[in-house]
Formats: sequence, C-alpha cells, structure tokens
Amino acid sequence: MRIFIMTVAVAIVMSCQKIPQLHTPQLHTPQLPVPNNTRSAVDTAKKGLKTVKEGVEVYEKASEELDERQEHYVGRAVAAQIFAKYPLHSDTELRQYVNLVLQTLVLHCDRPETYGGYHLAVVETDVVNAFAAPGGFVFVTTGLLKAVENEDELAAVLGHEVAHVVKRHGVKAIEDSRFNSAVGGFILKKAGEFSPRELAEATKIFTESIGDVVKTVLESGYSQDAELEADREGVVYCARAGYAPDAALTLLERTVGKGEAGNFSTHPGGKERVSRVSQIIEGRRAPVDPKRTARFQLMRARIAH
Amino acid sequence: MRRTSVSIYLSLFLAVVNAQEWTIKARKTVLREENGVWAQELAILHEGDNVTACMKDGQPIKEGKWLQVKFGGQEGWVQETAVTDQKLETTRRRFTDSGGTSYDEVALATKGFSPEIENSYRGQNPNLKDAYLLVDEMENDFHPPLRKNSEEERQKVRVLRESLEKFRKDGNLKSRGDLR
Repeated sequence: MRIFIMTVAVAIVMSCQKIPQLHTPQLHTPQLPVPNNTRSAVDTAKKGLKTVKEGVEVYEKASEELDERQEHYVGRAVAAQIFAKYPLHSDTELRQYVNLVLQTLVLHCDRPETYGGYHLAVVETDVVNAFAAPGGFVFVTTGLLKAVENEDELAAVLGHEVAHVVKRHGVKAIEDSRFNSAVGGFILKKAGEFSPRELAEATKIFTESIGDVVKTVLESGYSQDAELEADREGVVYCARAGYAPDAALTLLERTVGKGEAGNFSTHPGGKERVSRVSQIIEGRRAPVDPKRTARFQLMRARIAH
Repeated sequence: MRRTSVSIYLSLFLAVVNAQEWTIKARKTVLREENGVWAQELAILHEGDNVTACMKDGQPIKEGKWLQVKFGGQEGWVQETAVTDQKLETTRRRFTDSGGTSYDEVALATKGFSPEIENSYRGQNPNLKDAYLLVDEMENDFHPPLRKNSEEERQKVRVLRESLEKFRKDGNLKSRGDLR
C-alpha cells in the first residue's frame, strides 16, 4: 500500500512539473477597449488609464501575432522585393563563401533555428549596404564587399544583420493597425483554407505588411534603438565566433573618415554611432587572423572593381 | 503482492501519461548525437514531428540551448528553439502528386500568412515572378526543402556541417563562444 501511495504521489508531483523555458511564442489578442455604458464615470475614467497601458501593451505585442512560419512568408515576400530591385550576383563560389561566414555567426547567435533557416544572397549594386528580411534572408551588396577589408569586417556587418533577424526587428516594423482590426486579428489566427473574401482581405493585409517592412529595410532604416541593439548583439556574435570584436569599429571609423558612410543609407554611420560602437566594445580588441584575411581577399578578387 | 503489481502497472501507466511530448516547429532541424552543432547527425526532423523528452529527476534534460529527446527509437539532442510544447493544429488538405493524381492528406494547418496567401500575393504581383524564383534559389543553397528523410537530404546536412567545420578550423575560429 505504501508503494502504491508513493507511486501516486510521485506521479502527481511529476504531472505538476513545468517544462523548462522553451521559447514558445505566445499569441496575444490585442484587447481593444470597448466602451461600457453601464459603468460609472469613475470606472470609465479608470478604464481610460488602463487603455493607455493596454495601448502600450498592444504596441509591444503586435508583432508577436505572427508566428515563425508567418514571419517566414513575410520574409520571402520582402526578399522578393529586394530581388526586384537588385539582381543576384551570379558567382556561386563567392555566395558560398559569404554564406559560410553568415552560417558561422548563426551558430553563435541566440536564435540559431528560425522556421526556414538563414539564407544569404550577394546582390549586384555599387550601393554599400546589407539588409535582413524577416525569418533569416540576409543580403549583402557587391558594393559592401568592396568596402570591407577583411573577413572580420564582413562578419561585423553580417552579425549586425543576423541580430535584426534574431530580435525580429523586421516584423516589428509592421504597423500595429494591420493587426488591431477585428478582421485582421481573425485572419491572422485562422487555420485552414480561406474563403474567397477572406483570402482577398488577408492578401490585402499581407501586401500592406510587406510594404511596411520593405519601407523600413530598404528606405527609412530601423529605429535608433533597433540599430543600437543590432550593433550590440552583432559584436557579441562575432566575439563568440572568434572574430575580432572591434572589426565593426574599424570599419565604421574608416568609412566615416572617407565619407563613405552616407552610402550606408539605411545604416546611418555618423560619429555618434562610432562612439556608441566604441562603448559596446569597451576596449575588447583582437587581432585579425591573416588566414581569414587571405581567403577573403581571394574571394573579393572575384568581383570586378 | 497483488497491490505491488497494481502499483507497478499504475506507475507505468502514469509514466506514459507524463511522458513530455514536444513538436518540431521549425521546417527542419537535426537530431544530433551530442549537444553541439558539430556533433554527428542522427536524423533530420521536420515540422510537426513529435519527440519525447528524456527525463532526469522528473525534469526534461537540458544542456545550454539543447534538449535531449527520443525520436524513432533514437536518443539525441535538438536545439530548443526548434521545439514547441504546443500541439500544432492539423487539417485535411488536398495534394496533387507529380503524376497529377489528387489525394487527401492530413497536414499541418497553416495559419494566417501562409503559402495560400503567398500564391494570392504572387498572382496580384506578376512582376515578382522571377524575384520569387531567386528567393527559392536562395533557400536552396542551405537548408534545402527536400523530400522527408531522403538520403539526399541527410547528405546535404552532413556536407553543410563538414564545410562549416572546415571553414572554422581553417580560419582559426572558435567552436563555442565564451562571451556573456
């Protein structure tokens, strides 16, 4: 009997155990305030205060309406828009090399497994820039490959872009109004096939959402806070992987000095950013490995100057 | 004696009830022999696959960002970010095979922004046709969406790990970060 009781007790304890901290995105339904005429004026006033708080909550959580799979389809559409603007570089060996740098950093980031994984494209343009579309689609321009001087500087740029994916800055650029409408909320949660009317509505919301992300990624750039976060995280991924943590600073200092920073149109590279990155690095400097620089130079020679 | 055997059966039953089941939420991930990205592949796991947690002292075994799980008679490790403790909804969907035969199959229910919406979006934006082909090509470079558990798929994953390992060693990079 004692064994029986103990078994039951152990079983009850086990069934009460919580699983460890799995990073499961929780879906949140924005709770929009609904006027309630039966409440007193005091209640209404209190509710008004709560609304403000809820408003903040809604703003913070709107992007979480999209699960990882949905983020992937947003990413694909944004990536398609980038390809509509810039052609893919045809040198597969060069792409493979840059991809290896990217995948190395991914192993050391805090979100190594997105729904569809991380992917890289080198696009043909003299514009010096790099972009990240949601879900893990990372782009670097041939202009950027000419502007960086070694693999560690390239890793600094890619680490920054990986951080935008890790922190979901892309989907956070989607206007909250897309999710807050009753119809939008319903469609984003609906599992299974859409009726023709729902499909039209969902496609409209999708198109508008892609527009928001493309505008941010390709034109206006992320907020200062998002950029600061990406700078900070990017340096961490590089250091973990074994790249020189100060390569980001070296690149910024050089480009600002030469006036090339303006070309990083979506990554403002002013003196303010230089001092910010300098603070992040806090004197953590490491030598750039000559073997890495040698393989970088071999690859870069493949791009016509 | 009889009570003892009843309690053994009951504990076995409760152990089964208590078995912690998780679902793979990434389109694809790898079950590895050890808890590290450089460890050998045991199997490729796909979205919707169920894995059972390995337990110790009533708790799932976790080392860093890795969970020890059982899948198809094998025991290995998966990245915790590829796993969810929520049940993924399923739906019956109609598929057409390469021979043009249509058939119904239980599939994971796609929610919100899905392939269905992507198709509708592509229909409205015919100018993106070639661009989407490039996105497919980009996705095929790494993590190619190949047929489930095909030898070709396993081979691709192995080659990726080996090429990354070689790249790391050649460039004097670290196998594991020590910052933070």
